[in-house]
Amino acid sequence: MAEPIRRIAIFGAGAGGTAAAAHLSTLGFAISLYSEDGAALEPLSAIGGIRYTAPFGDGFAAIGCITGDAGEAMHGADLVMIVSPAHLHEKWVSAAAPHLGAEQVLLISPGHTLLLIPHVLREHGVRRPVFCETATLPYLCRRIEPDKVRISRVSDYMVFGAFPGRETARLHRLVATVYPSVQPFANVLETVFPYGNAIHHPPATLLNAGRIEATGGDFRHYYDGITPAVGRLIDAVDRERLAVAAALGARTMPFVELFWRMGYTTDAAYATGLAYEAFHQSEPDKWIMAPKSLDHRYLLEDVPYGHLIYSELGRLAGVATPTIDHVIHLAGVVLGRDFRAEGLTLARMGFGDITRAAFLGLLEDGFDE
Amino acid sequence: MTVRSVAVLGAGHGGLAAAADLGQRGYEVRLHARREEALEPLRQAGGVTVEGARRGLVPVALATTEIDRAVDGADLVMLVVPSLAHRYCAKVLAPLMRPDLPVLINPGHTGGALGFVQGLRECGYDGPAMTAETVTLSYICRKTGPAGVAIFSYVKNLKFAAFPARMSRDMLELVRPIYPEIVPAGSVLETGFANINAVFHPPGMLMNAGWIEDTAGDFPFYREGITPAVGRVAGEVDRERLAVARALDVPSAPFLENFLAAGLTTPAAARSGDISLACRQSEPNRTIKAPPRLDHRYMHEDVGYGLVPFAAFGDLAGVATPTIDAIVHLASEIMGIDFARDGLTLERMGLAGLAPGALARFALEGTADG
Repeated sequence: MAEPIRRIAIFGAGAGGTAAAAHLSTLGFAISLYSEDGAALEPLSAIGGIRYTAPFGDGFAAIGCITGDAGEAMHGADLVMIVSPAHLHEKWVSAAAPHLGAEQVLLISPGHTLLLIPHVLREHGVRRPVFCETATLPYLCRRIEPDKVRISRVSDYMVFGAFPGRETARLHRLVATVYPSVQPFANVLETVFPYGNAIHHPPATLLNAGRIEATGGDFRHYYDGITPAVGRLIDAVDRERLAVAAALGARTMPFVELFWRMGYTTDAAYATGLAYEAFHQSEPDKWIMAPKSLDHRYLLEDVPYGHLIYSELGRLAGVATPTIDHVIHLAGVVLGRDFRAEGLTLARMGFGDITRAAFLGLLEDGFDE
Repeated sequence: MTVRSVAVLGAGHGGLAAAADLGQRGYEVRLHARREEALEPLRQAGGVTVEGARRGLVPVALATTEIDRAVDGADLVMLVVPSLAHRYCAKVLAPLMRPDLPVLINPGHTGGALGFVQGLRECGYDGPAMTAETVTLSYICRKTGPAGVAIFSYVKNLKFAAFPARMSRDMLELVRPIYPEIVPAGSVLETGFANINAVFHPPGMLMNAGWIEDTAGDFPFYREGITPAVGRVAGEVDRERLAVARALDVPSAPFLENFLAAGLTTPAAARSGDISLACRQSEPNRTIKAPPRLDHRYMHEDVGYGLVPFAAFGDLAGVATPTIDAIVHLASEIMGIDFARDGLTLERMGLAGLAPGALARFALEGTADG
């Protein structure tokens, strides 16, 4: 596809989806917005777009097509961008699959569900699935009113990879015309590791569980909640994550470096290499309050779609991940759930028995047929 | 034999309480501490000033850092030290040990006497040892100053057992006049599994680690810190503990039953099965604040000498303890201490390589040999 990207279909009308719609609309792209959640679309349909307040200004972004019909949203789109929590990836990709043309670029942002998306596409008859993803959401944003989104920050560093890995360079050239901050990494294994939330949310939430419940989250999650001891547990999780990545030959970086590269902390904090310093010196995160209850994505998403993937990859690589495994277990006891049964395992991606070599080959070369 | 003279090892909260209590009741107290600084204030004051259940200035017959002087002529040696110090006590007592010198470990928590006797063995004492332990300290007390202590009350229904258990009658006869509240258990396995602090302190510390560090423990630990989620984790620890005890044929009651028996909650809260509710409705614990830092016996003692031996017994029994293991591991990471290595392991209790079926005999006889 040599044509530049002009039309973008966005799947997801939450904070991230509407932030993307607003931002990309102001950049001159033609946007269509799809969600199966009619209640989320209704206030947007009523005004024909989304209001926004952002570093690039305040205003109203008209959206040409706001629809509950995935096919309609995707018609004529050059790029289909799915912006949703990981646990909805299966559903959104299933909705897109029947309409996906060979020339359309599928971007998941944030992705980090490894082989789940190709697996779902294969189940829908796409024999040689191709897609790309960013490790993180492009925005720090919040839906502050039903028809208004606040964008606090547009990311200036996003780890990017494609499936299969040999498509990364081509897709990177295309997506960089939309998001110039995307950095090409080898493949979707390298986008799974630098997902910061998956590293620090579960340990920080677990070690503040009593305070969250007792106070309804009435403290600053990062600034007050990530004390030196909490930071040490995050560092321990991070060491295991890095060991798994190294054993699989995936290029990644320590969490503190990633956090610093994303512009969230100071050079001095980066120099210590400690999660505690990184958060304590984070101006953007300083005033973010803790979750109001433990029934929150910090555990509900970041354990089954974050910690669990690292544990699964550790098993595949033959690297022990005791700290990560114990956090998964205790988070399950806390919420009365079996995260290993309900989370994203290799088996759920369709590769329960895959070998390390076959897995790495698949990531790079994709499916033969 | 009747005990007249007691060597009290330890001059912390419990040691001073014992020195004052026993001294006032006419026993000769031979007080030992590792550091001179702990004893000098007592010499200057002319004894221990006690308030609460006992009152007055109680002279101490002897206050010394020399263990042999403390033990010389004592009818009973009583360890009133944190569990971490049991091995040290074993080391210094090993050269002085005799088959007829009774040692009471007050408190033994989980595996205290087993660990102490194994410590004697490792330090070259291979004769019979006559020991006993209480599950928790016999006093509710707090130091009021370098030479003062307040005894709020004596602990009621205090579980007590001898090691080896065949010495139970002799040890009971010696200790009962001193602590009439003791209730004999079948063996130190039974007292060890009755350790309630290990069930709820470590989850409370771990899951409030951020709060404790951020505020220096400025919140009511039991009333606010043991929330429903913390209570669920403590409940899971308790289920694992009971499963291990059951597999080893050691009688053990649920946490809430022991908590109620200790007078720490209401019958309704105990019946609810909800550890969080029981803590929130604990009148004696209502105003107790969280520790000012994580570096505290709720971690050191209740993980290393509570959860670690629970997990060790689980290994012996072939019963999985995933929640206990998770807490031990995560506590180790945040404290920078390898509790599973440094705590009370099977090796340190003298139980390494023991078949599960041989445990009861070991507890009874003090040896695995026929």
